[in-house]
Amino acid sequence: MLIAVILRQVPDTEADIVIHPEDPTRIIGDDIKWIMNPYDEFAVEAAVSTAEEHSGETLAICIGSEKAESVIRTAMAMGIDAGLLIRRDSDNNPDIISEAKVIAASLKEQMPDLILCGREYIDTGDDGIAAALAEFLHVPHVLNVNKLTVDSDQIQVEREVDGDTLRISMTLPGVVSCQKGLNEPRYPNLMAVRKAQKKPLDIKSLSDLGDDAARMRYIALSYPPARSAGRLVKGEPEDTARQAAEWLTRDARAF
Amino acid sequence: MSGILVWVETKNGRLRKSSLEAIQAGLQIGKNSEPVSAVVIGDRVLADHVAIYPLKNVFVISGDQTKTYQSEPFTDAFFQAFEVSGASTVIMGATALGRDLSARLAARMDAVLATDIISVDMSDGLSILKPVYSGKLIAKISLDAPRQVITIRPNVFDTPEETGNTAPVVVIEPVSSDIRAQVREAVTAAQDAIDITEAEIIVSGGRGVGGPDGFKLLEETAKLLGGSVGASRTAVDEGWIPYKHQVGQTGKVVSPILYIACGISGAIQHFAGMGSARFIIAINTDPEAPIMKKADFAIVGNLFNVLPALRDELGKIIRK
Ligand SMILES: Cc1cc2nc3c(=O)[nH]c(=O)nc-3n(C[C@H](O)[C@H](O)[C@H](O)COP(=O)(O)OP(=O)(O)OC[C@H]3O[C@@H](n4cnc5c(N)ncnc54)[C@H](O)[C@@H]3O)c2cc1C
Ligand SMILES: Nc1ncnc2c1ncn2[C@@H]1O[C@H](COP(=O)(O)O)[C@@H](O)[C@H]1O
Repeated sequence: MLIAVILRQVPDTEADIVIHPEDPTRIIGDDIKWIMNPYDEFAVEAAVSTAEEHSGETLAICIGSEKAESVIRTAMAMGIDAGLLIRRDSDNNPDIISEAKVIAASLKEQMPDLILCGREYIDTGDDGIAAALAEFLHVPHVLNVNKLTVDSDQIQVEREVDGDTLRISMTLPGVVSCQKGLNEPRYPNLMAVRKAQKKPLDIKSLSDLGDDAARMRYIALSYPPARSAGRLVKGEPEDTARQAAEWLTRDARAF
Repeated sequence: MSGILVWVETKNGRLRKSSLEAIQAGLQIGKNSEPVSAVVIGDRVLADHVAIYPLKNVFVISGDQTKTYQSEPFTDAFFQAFEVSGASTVIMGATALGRDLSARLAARMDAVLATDIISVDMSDGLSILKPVYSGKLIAKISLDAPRQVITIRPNVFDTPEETGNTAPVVVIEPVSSDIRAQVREAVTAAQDAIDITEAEIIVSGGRGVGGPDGFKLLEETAKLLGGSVGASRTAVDEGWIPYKHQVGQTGKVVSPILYIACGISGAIQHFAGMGSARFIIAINTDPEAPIMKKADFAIVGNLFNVLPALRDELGKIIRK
């Protein structure tokens, strides 16, 4: 059984995101910490634990710049066997559908039985990679799963939609995106981190995989309107509550 | 471009507000020169409820495989309508199912996909605005493709006016789909609260709420106001409330009209999820908590005293 995970490198959630002073289409990336997209950790854990249970092999794929190798190494430290880094030098292409197409092309020779993604990329907020990849590979998908069990050529998963829990059977091969609650991602120990450096990593470029011209472009990044402090009140709960209600109806006209 | 197609999503036999907002976004992009049509999958009856809006056509596809949402038959059905309509742009709400359908569909259409947008700009071709880095920045992105699929953030666009006419309803017979991801069972949640991504009012709690019992007060308040309950990650990690309520960078991004933050400090990861709320009220014992400097109305006090009083005050307004 071959299990692939799709990874992305994103800025740390604590990071101050600063627009580049010379180029408003990008952020200053040098001074911030870059991490594995937090949801991808659930995908890596699911891949590694499923492979352990069903004696499978695992592959991590990441589209990114040179420095994105480190997220593949982190995944390897968590137990992933091999990696593919698809090099991209321009960050000015938020086209997730092209990304899915490129990843689908990279899997042509060796189709995985199961492909796992994180629920969402916390940088662009995109969550389309799993479904789009499934469509390009002509296989089924289920998004946002928080439970997953594998029985031979089929998996049973659960996902939540608007508060309802759906139990879904999906035939393999197929694509799943992973949600918090699916598992507890493991922390690699030092030994695993060292071993990860020696695992096989293949590097390709976007053009090797037939990526065409950018169809989406950042024109500009801007800061959202800053929220400044409003009114601060203290006192008896009844008084402060009445003031808040008055403010809402009179000044804020929320109702 | 040659037309705009909007997916009208239904829930428990009703149109979702976000679908009407998607029609409005379509009208805005179409600027009266491009027709906007709607697609109803599954429930024929609902077509009449949609036809009162300024639409060219309402396409209806219903069959045994589309009684409830499943990715494959819904993608097939929508794609049929897409081909019949000759449209080039597809719009839907960025709901859980809208996110599911839009991505698979965009791949099939070989379209670009712009998710969770908050605004469109038609001044120089088509570009959109969307929050990135969990709301820390807003990106303006141009869409330079012959086809595009757009999902819109709920509660941002207006709803369209009714026309007084009815748009023609076009029935399309569904093809038979290969269903490889099959919903075996749907366990419906007991409460019928609105998902926080679509709620207009969110009463949200953090560590200050102290436990599951504290959240009962928030639930009562939310119910009275017709809103939903949100939570910080701390409250979720403590097991006081399920994850689906989590607001923030690794929870849900919400954009309600009113966000009431109770016992939440306002960490950067939390703020990322609710910073675009139209109004924020914060209740916190600590006047120095970061949330108190971002809230439109900050109340220094114990939430267990202030929230019941606020609930009563807001209850008076809403009943009027
Ligand atoms: C990778 C990553 C992702 C994260 N994602 C998220 C996310 O998606 N969402 C999220 O929320 N957090 C997220 N966090 C966590 C975030 O950093 C904070 O730890 C968290 O938001 C704090 O929750 P809190 O405000 O409830 O708790 P605290 O920071 O402990 O604040 C509690 C507040 O309650 C006040 N208080 C206490 N008692 C009362 C009372 N009786 N009445 C009124 N006020 C009271 C206190 O003064 C304090 O301000 C993430 C962190 C990381 C590292
Ligand atoms: N560097 C990191 N790598 C992976 N996961 C992390 C890292 N830092 C924090 N986490 C996750 O965040 C949780 C702790 O965060 P917190 O509760 O905010 O202190 C852990 O359970 C991890 O899942």
